[in-house]
Amino acid sequence: MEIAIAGEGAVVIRFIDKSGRTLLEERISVSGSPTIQAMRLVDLSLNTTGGRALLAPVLMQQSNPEQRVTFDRETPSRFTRARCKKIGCSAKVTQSAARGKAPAPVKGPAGMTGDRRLDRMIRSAAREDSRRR
Amino acid sequence: MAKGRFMLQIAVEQHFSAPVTDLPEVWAVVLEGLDGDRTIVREIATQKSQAIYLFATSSGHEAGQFSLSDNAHSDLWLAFSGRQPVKILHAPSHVQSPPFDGARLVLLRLRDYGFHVESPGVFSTLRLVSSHAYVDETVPA
Repeated sequence: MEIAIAGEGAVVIRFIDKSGRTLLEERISVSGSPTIQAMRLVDLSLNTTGGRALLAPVLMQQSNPEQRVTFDRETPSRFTRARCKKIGCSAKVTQSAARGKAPAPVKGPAGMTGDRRLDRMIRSAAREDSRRR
Repeated sequence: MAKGRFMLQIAVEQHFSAPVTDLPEVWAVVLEGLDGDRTIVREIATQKSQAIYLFATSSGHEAGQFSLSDNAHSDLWLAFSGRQPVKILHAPSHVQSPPFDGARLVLLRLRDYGFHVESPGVFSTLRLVSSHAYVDETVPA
C-alpha cells in the first residue's frame, strides 16, 4: 500500500488484524516547506508467532490538519473500511477503524508526540504561555 | 524563481506489539519540486535507533550468528527535465555538492532493510529511522 503525504507534520498509523488488535504502530514525520510531499510503501501483512496476519491501516492522528494523507490514492477512511472488510474484520471493528479508532499497541506510544513526558512538558509550557498572555 | 534554502526530512518510527518473524523493510521518500535553477546539496544524513530481542519459542535451539546494521541508508536524487540522467548522491555527506543546473525535482529516499528468522526463532523490536537533507536552489550569477 502507498501512503502519500502532502505537507509537513506527523501522522500516526496503526495496523490492525481482523480481530481489531494493533500489531504495529508507525509514526511518520515529514518536515520541510509547506509544499513538501512524502510517500511510504508498506506491506499489509506481518508474520507473527500465530502465523501470517493480514493488516488494515488506521489513520489515528495528524499533527497538522492542513496535511493531506491518502492510502493508495483513496481517503484513509474509505481505504480502511474496504481493507477491513477484505481481511474479515467484524462490522464493529470495521466501523471503529474507519473512524480512526484502534487500540494502542502494548506499551506503545500515545498522545500528541508519542512521548508522554514530552506531551506533559508541551502542555505545561502552553499553559504557562497562555497565563503570561 | 529559485526556491532558496530548504530542508527535506522524514522519520519512520515503528512499534511492534507482538513478537514477529519478519521485519518489513522501511522504504520512504520525501520530495520537493525545483524551479530548474542551480542546486547545491549541503548535507545528507541518516539516523537509526533500534532495539531488538531475539529468542526461540521452544527450547533446545542454539542461537545462530546475528548482527544488525547501525545505520539506515539514504540517497538523494536530482531529476531533470528532458533526457539528462538523474544525479544520485549518497549519505552521509556533510560538505557541499558540486552545483547542478536545471534540476526539477529533488527526492530523498530512506531505506532500512528487513529480515526474516526461521521458526522457532522470533523477535521483538522497535525501530526509528530518519533522514534529512539541506538543499540550496539559487539563480546562477
